[in-house]
Amino acid sequence: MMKGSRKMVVWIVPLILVAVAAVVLAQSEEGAVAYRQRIMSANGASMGAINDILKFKLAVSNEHIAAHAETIHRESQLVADAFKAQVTAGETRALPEIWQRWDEFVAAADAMGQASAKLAEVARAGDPQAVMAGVREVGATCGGCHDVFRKPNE
Amino acid sequence: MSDLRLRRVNFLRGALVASLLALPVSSLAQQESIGGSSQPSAIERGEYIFRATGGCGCHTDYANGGALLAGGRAIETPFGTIYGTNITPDPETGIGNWSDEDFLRAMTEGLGPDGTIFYPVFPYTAFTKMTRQDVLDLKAYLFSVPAVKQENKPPELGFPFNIRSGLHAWRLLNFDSGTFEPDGDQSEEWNRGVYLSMALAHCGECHTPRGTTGALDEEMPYAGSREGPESELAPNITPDQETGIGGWSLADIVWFLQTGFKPEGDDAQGLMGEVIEHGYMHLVESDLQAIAAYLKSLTPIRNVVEPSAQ
Repeated sequence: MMKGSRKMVVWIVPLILVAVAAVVLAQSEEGAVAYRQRIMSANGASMGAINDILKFKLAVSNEHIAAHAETIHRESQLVADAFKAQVTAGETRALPEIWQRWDEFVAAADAMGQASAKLAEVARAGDPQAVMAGVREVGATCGGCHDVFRKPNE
Repeated sequence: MSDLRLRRVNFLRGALVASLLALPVSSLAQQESIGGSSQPSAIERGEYIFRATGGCGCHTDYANGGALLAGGRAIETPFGTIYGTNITPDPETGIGNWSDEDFLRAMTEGLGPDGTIFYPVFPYTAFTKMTRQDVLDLKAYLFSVPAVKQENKPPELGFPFNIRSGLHAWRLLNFDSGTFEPDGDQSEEWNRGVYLSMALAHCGECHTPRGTTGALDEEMPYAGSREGPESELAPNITPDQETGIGGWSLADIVWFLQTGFKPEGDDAQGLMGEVIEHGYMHLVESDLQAIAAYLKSLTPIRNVVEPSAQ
């Protein structure tokens, strides 16, 4: 009897440990995906705010555009680290190309950082045409990266 | 940085410069309407038409670094793969030998100079609504781009779609020839919006679902399609609140066509991103407002567009 239950313990404990590890891993993977998506959503929200200011010709100072652009710039510096772990399971549109072409992916995040920093600069200078060009340039870095590294939406 | 992205960013930079250069053209057009003397040339007017069509991108193999309008781009359809043709002015492999009447017939009747019937992946069903002047201006612009010698690739279609003569029956059933007729009961802006959307920008070619023969489903205009070109999904752009773009304001639509940014801050991708970059963002704001006004006036259709379960 004692011998039998000891044997069972010998088998069950590792099984439980493996199961717990799997659950923890799955949770941390889920968390990694959610965190990445938060960064991207934050970028989308900042860009959406810039768009609203220009689209609806809001009577706010250009400092608003500069501030949102700087937020994108700061977030862009977190992208590579947030994506370092290769997680493609679950509800994600991240493509394996991110890790297969890692240097290009990092360069794409960097391009967004540079374009958004430049947008902040031209917004403070106040030339509306340069601001519009800056917005389109940030947009090109969003689309340029999404076209290659993100699964199409629908 | 990937080639694709680099090209995209570089193109955009070029386009921004080009759009600044193009600005005087639209100002000229406006001056003309208030009695100014200088008028844009046929090539300049034609470039505007070219932009309004979305930049004739099916004829440029951007992904593989193909020359502008020299063809070779693979367009996947549910019937097989068709390659965009060379429409540069090269006399041998392009359209350099085409007369005005040849070009008009191709654009508005879907027939080549030798009578070859075109596959309707070339949207002559939309371009037939163009005015004669706009078609000829477009020809003037196309004839101004560098000629490129590049043979066209034959289509790769399965039976029975590989039998070109079958297209005559298709054309008979599905093609209504004729220039757009403005609706006198509607505003000038609305009519301009219809003309831009239907005759030039050919929005419905992707956003209207197709039936089994590949003809547009007239009951479902702009309600979105699962099988857009290049296997891309085309969203429902009717003003349905839940499944369409009913939540978008006029300003949202104009801004989207100017920049590619959707109201929530995400960007347009794939073909839509391309036609904005190479086409719609170069249009004057009043034209984009006309398109937006027309889209807002559509009957909302509830239609969820999801990938087919294949």
